[in-house]
Amino acid sequence: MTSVRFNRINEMTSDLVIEVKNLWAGYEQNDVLQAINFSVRELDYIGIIGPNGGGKTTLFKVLLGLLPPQRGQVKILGLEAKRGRRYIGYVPQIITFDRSFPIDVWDVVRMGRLGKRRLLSRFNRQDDEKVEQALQQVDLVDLRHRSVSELSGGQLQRVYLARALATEPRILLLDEPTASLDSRASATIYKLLEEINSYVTILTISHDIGAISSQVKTVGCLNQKLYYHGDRQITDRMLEQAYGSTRSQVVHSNIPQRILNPHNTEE
Amino acid sequence: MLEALEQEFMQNALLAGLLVSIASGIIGTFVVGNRIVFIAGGIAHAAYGGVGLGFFFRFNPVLGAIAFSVAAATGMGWVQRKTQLREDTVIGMLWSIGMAIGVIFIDLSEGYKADLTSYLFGCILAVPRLDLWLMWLLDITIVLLVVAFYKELLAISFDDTFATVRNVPVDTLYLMLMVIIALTTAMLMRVAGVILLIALLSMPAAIANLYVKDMKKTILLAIGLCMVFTTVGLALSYILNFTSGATIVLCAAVTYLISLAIDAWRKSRHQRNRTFEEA
Repeated sequence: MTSVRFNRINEMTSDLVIEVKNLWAGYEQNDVLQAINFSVRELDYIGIIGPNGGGKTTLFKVLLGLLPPQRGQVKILGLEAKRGRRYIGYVPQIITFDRSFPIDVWDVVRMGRLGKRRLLSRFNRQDDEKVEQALQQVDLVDLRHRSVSELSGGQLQRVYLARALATEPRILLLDEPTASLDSRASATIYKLLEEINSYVTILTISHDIGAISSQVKTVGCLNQKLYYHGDRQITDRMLEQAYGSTRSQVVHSNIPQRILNPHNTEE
Repeated sequence: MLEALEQEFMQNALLAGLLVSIASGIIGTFVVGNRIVFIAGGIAHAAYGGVGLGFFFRFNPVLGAIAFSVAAATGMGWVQRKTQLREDTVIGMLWSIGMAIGVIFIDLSEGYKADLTSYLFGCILAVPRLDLWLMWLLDITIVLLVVAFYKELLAISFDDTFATVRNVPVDTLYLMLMVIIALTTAMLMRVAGVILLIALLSMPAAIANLYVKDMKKTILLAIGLCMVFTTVGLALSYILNFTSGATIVLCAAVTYLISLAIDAWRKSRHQRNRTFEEA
């Protein structure tokens, strides 16, 4: 009895927003994720890198309650993923964006309000205000009535970001937020994320080390197993564990100096 | 031509064309937006099994078609969302199994069978009054459902993963959309037949998409275009003594091709202007 009560008090006072314990997940016989343990604290800004096929997308699916874990436990703000996901603002890769779909920026961003309105009830003025705020934040108010077919890659990414912000999230999950963007558009996204991080926890994944903003507070490597120890820099050892022999191909790309352990650049 | 309108079968035909256009314009927009034209085709063909059943047991074949298409739609929706089966293979199989069942039942039926081609290629001139009432009922049902669940239907059509994360009941709504598609194809069967109706379902929405970039506007324009195609097609088929379903579909096809050409011309002009400005 006492231990249960103690745990509850402990949970309430902790600032853990995501807690993953001994997570195994994947498809049929294939364990894409093995023995993953990590926790995310309020206002963390974590960048996870890993090779394609290393389980980045699978990890997101588990966190969003789209794929049940085979073993282990996932808690979002102390809740099961399916219940906790309402606090998560999800930003998918822009490749998934169907640009031929007849819809404008405003209607896409307003989808962020879906969880707030039940079936059969309409979006209301409060929703419109939140959508407007989100658009202001990503500087897209002028393009609110623009069709998504007429947007650039950077603008699409900001539409997705605004849609996630309209959900009033506690946590933002970003899947390859700057893949296929030019450096100027990427810089805009990084700057926005830095601002947003002052009040929202951010977890971002990418296959490209160069695509992790230098503003992230901590970094990790994911390749079936997760190498994350709350470090501020990617160490030689983490890269070796995550990428194995392909490590050299990763390291010479344009990596923000801050992220990489200085030893690496001397190579 | 105008005196033709005084005849009851002609009035029925005109009304039938207008009534199916409402359902077709709405649902066609969702079918095109969701990229599930092939599924809609499978559902339409599977409905033929119900037509055969109706002939054999002597009840209204449209009711049989509704039952078969709803069953096929539910099956395809379930395969697509809940199983790892190859969905295109399953759709293709249901497509021909439904037709095969129809053909066998019609073999077993006795008596006059010439009416059958009207279910394959459509015969808007032979729509009985009872079917018009059925069309009214289906139109009202479809409009009410789409209006009631519009924000969710738009969301699952655009990005079903995001809708799931926002706790929208995606599977249930998707199944509902499938059933509505089935009801729409059963209605369209009278006008264009199971083989031709897929063009009438998808082309108005595809044309509308070239001109407007908003779901609601696409729906309204698609309804309008569909009404024009059925009416003009009906008139032409009457004057030229052509099969009505085929004439209607070709009206839509000609408009589609012209619209594509206009769109290509507009884009190239836009491109040229831009190059000019940059130079």
